[in-house]
Amino acid sequence: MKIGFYARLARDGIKKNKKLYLPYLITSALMIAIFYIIFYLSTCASLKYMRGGASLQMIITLGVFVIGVFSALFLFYTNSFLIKRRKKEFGLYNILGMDKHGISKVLFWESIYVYALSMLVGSAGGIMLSKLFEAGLTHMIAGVVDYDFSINFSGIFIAAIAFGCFYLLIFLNAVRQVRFSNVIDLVKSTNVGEKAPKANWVLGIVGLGILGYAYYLAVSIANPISALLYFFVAAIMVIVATYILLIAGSVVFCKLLQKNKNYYYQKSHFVSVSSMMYRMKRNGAGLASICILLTMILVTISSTTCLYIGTESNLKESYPRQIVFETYFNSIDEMYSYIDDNPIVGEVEKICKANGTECKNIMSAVSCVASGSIDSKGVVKIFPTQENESFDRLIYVTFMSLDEYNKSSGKTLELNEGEAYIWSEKSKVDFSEISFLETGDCFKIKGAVDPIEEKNQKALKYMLDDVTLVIDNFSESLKVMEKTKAINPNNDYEMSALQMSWKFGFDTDLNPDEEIGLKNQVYNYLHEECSKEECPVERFTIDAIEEERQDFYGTFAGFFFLGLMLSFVFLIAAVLIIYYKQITEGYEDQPRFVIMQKVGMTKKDIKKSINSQMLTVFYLPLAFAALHMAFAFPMVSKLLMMFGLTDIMLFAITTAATTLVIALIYAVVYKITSSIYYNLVSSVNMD
Amino acid sequence: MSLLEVKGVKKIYKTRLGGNSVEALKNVNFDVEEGEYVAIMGESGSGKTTLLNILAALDKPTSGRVLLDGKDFSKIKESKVAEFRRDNLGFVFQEFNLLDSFSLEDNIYLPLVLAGGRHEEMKQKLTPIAAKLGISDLLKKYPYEVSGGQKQRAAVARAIITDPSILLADEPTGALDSKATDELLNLFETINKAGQTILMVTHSTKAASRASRVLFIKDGEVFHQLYKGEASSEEFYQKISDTLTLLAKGGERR
Repeated sequence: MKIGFYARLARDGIKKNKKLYLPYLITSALMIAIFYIIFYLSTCASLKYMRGGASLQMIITLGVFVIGVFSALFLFYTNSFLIKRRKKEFGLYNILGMDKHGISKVLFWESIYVYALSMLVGSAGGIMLSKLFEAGLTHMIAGVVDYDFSINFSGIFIAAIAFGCFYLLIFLNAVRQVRFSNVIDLVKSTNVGEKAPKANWVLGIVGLGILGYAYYLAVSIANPISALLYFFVAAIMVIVATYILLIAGSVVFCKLLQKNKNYYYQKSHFVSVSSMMYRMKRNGAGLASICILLTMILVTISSTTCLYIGTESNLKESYPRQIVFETYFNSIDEMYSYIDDNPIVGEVEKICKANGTECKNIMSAVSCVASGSIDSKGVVKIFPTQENESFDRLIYVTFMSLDEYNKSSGKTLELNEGEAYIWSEKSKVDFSEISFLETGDCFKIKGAVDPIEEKNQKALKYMLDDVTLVIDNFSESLKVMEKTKAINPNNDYEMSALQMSWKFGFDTDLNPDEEIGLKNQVYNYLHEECSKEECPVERFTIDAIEEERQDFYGTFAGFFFLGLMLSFVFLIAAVLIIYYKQITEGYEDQPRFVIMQKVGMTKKDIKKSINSQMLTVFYLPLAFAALHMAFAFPMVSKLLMMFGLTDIMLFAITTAATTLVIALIYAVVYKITSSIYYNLVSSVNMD
Repeated sequence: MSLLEVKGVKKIYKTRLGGNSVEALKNVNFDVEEGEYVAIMGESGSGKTTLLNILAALDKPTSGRVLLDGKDFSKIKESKVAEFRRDNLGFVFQEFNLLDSFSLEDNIYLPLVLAGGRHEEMKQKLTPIAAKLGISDLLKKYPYEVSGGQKQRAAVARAIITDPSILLADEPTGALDSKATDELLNLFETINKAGQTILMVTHSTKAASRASRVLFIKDGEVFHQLYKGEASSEEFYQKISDTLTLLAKGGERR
């Protein structure tokens, strides 16, 4: 009987506050649905046994944690807002004789209702949608979709436990808030007198400084490895700076506007500037949260979309032929004499014939690569000592003979003694000669030449600076290399410092499975061949593009899918914050607009003032987010290089498109929520 | 011609579906001359607030006319009403109605800014008024930093800075302590002596006794009126409370 009473009270409370609770319930259900879907996908068997499915599921598993943590934080945030608005009601119950224990019971039943309802709707929706997402993902990694419908009960169980814990914490927090306040506070809590904000110049400048430094970091970092290191530092700095700037900096800005009397005392600025100042102080945190969420959405979607779209070209860049193997040698002499008369090519062609195909589009390339560090004057140290070398200056120097260059490019270039041509895929060449510290060799740079394709893959792969030196006589480079070896006979860097290899690649007519079979046969042959005593090949690697393709698609589809899901969740969060913000402000502004009308403000003036103020306040986070994105662009594009994506143009396009789409969605949300605000403000009578 | 003419004003409130109608004002007639200080008294529910809302052009009478300087309120276009109010009427409210987001100075400037004045002119207007009302030192403060009496004085400054034809005051002493009430009433008297027409709705006999004329409203009609004439405020106070007693008894008799 008694329990029934509290339960009914809780139910009525939710019903009466539909405007507040409905969005909360929907969000909660959505979070649960997404949590379930992601969990389902991370464990579902049909993906697991697909090629590339393993990488995909590994990435998606990360999402389970991210969604869980984010849901918890966000539900907490929303609920504290709900409690704030409902304190008056609880105060009334208290005055009417319900003790705080009773209020806790009402809160308890409310939590139970919200939990049960969102769990029910959420898991139902999750179960229904999970198959759809599974099919979509399978399609993305080019697998075969099966249509067995299944429910992952452990997923529902884990979602129930996790969200049960969240709601328990939320409930305890609400009880704490009610317990530690007295009746009068409860009744009055929505209209506590507000002080005029003080401009905090120091904080404003600090915020600007932090933001400036973070932007500087993002723009100035040249090397992907340091980009990875500093990305999180910069991100945290930007988040902190956004909060400081929107809370304190905007007040400073408004105060500055106020100081300009001729600007401030104008009909169109007077009301909006002063109320903006208030708004910022109270809602600056909300705006900053929206801004951060928008930035996260922009970064996530633009980068993951770009990666996914770029998968194929990324793959082609890493594996220029269907089957590629590379053999490594200990010395250039050995390498050249072996390549001139090697048994491998013939044998590989035989294997192809046995499989009913032939080697087409053959690629055969020799590379001599030294890794080291370079300074601005072009002095290369092959063996950098670790203490005083930074990542930025690490470099791959590739040697190429003039003969080879002329053969590949079809040109007829000439060189004198001690001269070299140079090219670089990504580094700036601004030195007139290049010298090698350890050996004393020095080459005058005769000029830059067009790059030859498919050279220097390693530099691209590891995202280091690169130069290719075209030298007349290959024995020159040999000298350089061997001298270096002589200086450091037992160095630990040998493998990475000097690499002499021969790469051989070819295409076939085979289907993917057959191609992988062929690759395995070639592998077996190479393994046998290279273990022979007389063979100078030190080691070898072999890859089939079809084998890698599945992994690539699995990985990038996983990123893309997860990016979309997370962004969707972030978007919901941003929309909900906006919605609640508009409602709070609507209630707050009602009396203010009544007064202004009494003093002689026309309805038109009011509309205009609301509009300009809302536009500013509303689009401020979006503008800030776009700015953040613009400055994050160089840094993120360097991070994308780590994943092998070098097409900056593609990233620019996806970034622009994402920003546009998000701005559109934001505008729609603005239209809808601002009409809610108008209704709240204009609904009151003038009395 | 009188400054303000109220002729046969009637106001009927209808519930939304037109089921019940309530007659708030039956038939109100009175004039206010330029420079007069008129108080309107009546019990709760007598129609005082309705009348004031109509005089403030916040509400429209069901029938009858209100004229200010010969200009008919009903002839003013809907879109111009706020402007008209801003230019011709000054308001002082029981709850001050100062905006908490503005300093006192900016609160006082609000109607001028809305009318599109220049800052220099505004400042020139404010300086003497602020001195007269004794709030020169408080101008930079915010409403929450000052007392009720000080807030009300700022509200008065806001009301008279536009040189309104008539100052409408709705229970201006309702939220003030007795000392602040005296100060405000003295202030009204000073302003009135300087030529400002004032129309004040009040419950307080003390406040009404400072006016030059008192109108009593009952059941939607002007029931009675008293002129102060040469009487002192104390004598007038007595007369008003006698009338109020009479009114109350009359109410019982019905």
